[in-house]
Amino acid sequence: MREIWLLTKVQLGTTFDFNISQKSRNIKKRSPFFIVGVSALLLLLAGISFFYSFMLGSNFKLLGTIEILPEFMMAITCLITIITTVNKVKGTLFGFKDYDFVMSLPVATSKIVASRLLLLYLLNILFTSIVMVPNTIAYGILVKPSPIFYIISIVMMLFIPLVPMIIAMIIGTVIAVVASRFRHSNLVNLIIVTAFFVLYMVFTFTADSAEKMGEITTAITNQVDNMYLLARMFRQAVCEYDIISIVLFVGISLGAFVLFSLMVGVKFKSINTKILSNFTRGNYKVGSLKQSTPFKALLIKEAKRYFSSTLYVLNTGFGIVIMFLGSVASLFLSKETLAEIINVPVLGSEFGQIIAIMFGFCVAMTNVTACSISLEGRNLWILKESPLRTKTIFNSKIALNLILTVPAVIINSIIVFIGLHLSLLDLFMIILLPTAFAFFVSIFGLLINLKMPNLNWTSEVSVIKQSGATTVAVLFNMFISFLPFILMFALNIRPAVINGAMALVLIILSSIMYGYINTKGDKIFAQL
Amino acid sequence: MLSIHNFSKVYKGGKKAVDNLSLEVEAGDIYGFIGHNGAGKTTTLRAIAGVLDFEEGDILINGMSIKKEGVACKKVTAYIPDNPDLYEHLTGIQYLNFVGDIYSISKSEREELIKKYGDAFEMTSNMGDLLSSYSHGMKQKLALISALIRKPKLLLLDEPFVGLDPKASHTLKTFMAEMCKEGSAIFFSTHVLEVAEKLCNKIAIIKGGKLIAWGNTEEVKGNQSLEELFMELIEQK
Repeated sequence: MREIWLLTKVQLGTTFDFNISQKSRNIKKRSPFFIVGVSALLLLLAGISFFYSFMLGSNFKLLGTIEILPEFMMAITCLITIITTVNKVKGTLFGFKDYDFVMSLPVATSKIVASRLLLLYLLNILFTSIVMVPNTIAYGILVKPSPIFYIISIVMMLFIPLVPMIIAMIIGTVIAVVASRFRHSNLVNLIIVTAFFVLYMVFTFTADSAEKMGEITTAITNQVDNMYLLARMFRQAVCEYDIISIVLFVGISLGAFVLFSLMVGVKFKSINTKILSNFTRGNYKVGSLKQSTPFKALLIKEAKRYFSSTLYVLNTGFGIVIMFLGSVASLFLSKETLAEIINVPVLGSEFGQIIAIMFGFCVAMTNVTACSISLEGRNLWILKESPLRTKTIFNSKIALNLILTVPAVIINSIIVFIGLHLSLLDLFMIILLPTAFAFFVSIFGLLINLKMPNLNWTSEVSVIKQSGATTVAVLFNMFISFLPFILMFALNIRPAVINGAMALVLIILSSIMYGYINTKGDKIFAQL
Repeated sequence: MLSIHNFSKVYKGGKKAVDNLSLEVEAGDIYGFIGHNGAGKTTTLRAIAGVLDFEEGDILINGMSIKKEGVACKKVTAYIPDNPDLYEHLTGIQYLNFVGDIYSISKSEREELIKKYGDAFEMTSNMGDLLSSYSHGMKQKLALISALIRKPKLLLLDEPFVGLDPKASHTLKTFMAEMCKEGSAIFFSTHVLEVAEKLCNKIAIIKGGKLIAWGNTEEVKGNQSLEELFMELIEQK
């Protein structure tokens, strides 16, 4: 047991990028900030979860179906556990970086497997608690059940992640094994995660009011009740205190987990060998090669880097996906319905201007350049050693951001122009404002990343999601993209005038920043 | 070909990695740069390659300053670090083609040179695979191919023989000799003193950021072996 815990402890440190040893100098140095920061984040998430559960529960109460609240939240927890664990299988259970080292230790394979499963369980139980504890409290406030409800809920909660984890691990293993046979394994991941995201967005668009969301949720829960036996057992156990359901739920979850663990133990080495073996053909022959300009070569390199990272695409591409979903929706829905969905007033003939601002927001979230310098990381020597003008390198990074956004803006503008029968002025502004945003975001992101680079990362998550440059860029872009909205309501000026002025300001700011990058960029880049 | 004038580099925190270093490398030279770990070899090579910014002194390549005419200097130089981190999302051939585009190597020339060096290092068949699947030695070989296809006038190598198999090491030495015959110069760091002794016509020994011996290999080492000289110089206070 000691060995299992030791192995798990080391992995927890790696997963959260901190040394959990109390004797470490690092942890002493940053522990107050770290503990306060993590606690605040967990409390915030728990608060959001409580708010969501309470609002949903209140709707259920009105519909007379409050007993489905714990079951619905349990189903949501299971679904998210599956989605998030699928991506964690490779790297945690199989194909992890220190596989060779761990397997060479004088520790039984079963204990190594147990430590890996324990790590996944601990990660999932943390998430389950964040969703289910506030949900239990919300249900308690709304229904005022007997104290036994809380005891059953807490006990049952410990077993909720087990079966979804098994499902996720099976899917994740199949994906990892299949993907290891393909060169572009990230594409498989990207398609699956994007599909989930689009489904979620469609659900949110469809459920365009609180009542409708309540109705849809009830229908979904009824489906879940029929499809996922454990969900029904959970409801009967928690809401009806049914002893048989409690025993069955715990027994099935635990039994399935033990059985699965034993099976993994048997196949652990062979699956790891399959996953860790790289896809290689080894039959290349030099044929005809394509020749490009240095700029085009850099741009292609940037694009390949972008699409090789699922995380990079997902974190910067969702604005474009939302824009596209919204545009397609405009072909089928009226202005009024769309306005209700995005929670804005129709404002008579000014709806087109609101679309321009919404598109601007979507483009502002497509922040590819904000981590593009940091992502060079240990490869930066290649660019620095090359006979390239710094301007060409910067232009290639800006160009990728523009290629991802500007054509999308133009195509989607034409779709909404047709779908909502907008005026030519609206069409002009829907293209102009987001395009101005595209230039601003691309240049601003690059500038911020040059000023706040992080080239010594070990995991790309730390630069794509958690770096100072990305945070500053995302928050500032979010603020500036909502500025026209704020001005529109505060100043009572025609939206078209505000949007036009905003586009002009963005173009001027972009030009100033571009000029600055081109004059000072050489020096900044040389010092990286 | 390469003139280093009073080059010094102080890192943040005040550590002087290289102190007032001056050196001349002529066309046709295979110049070995020797020193123990942390002596300043990599810092010097990175500065010559234009990868590292510096304030004191100047470095001229083919008569041009790396500080003032960086792009022109880099066009005639190739640098390979000791542990070349390459773009892992590209295949071997995509990386070489990328280098070919950056250095504007014509289509027919790059096809011919990639085949020549790829076959010599037994790498051609692996060029269709992603660099993330390459071993350390394979990455080293590919980085060398990417340097050789540029036909550089000055080749800078940091520990080029680490990670190479014996056959690849032999191949590299052959190409180094071939390049110098054609008028290029090679400046490389190494810990393998036997290689330096046999391969280099000139050597420089650096200790604590300062050059302590330099010149023709035979003159510098005299009657001793290079290893004996190195140990003697390094142990002197």
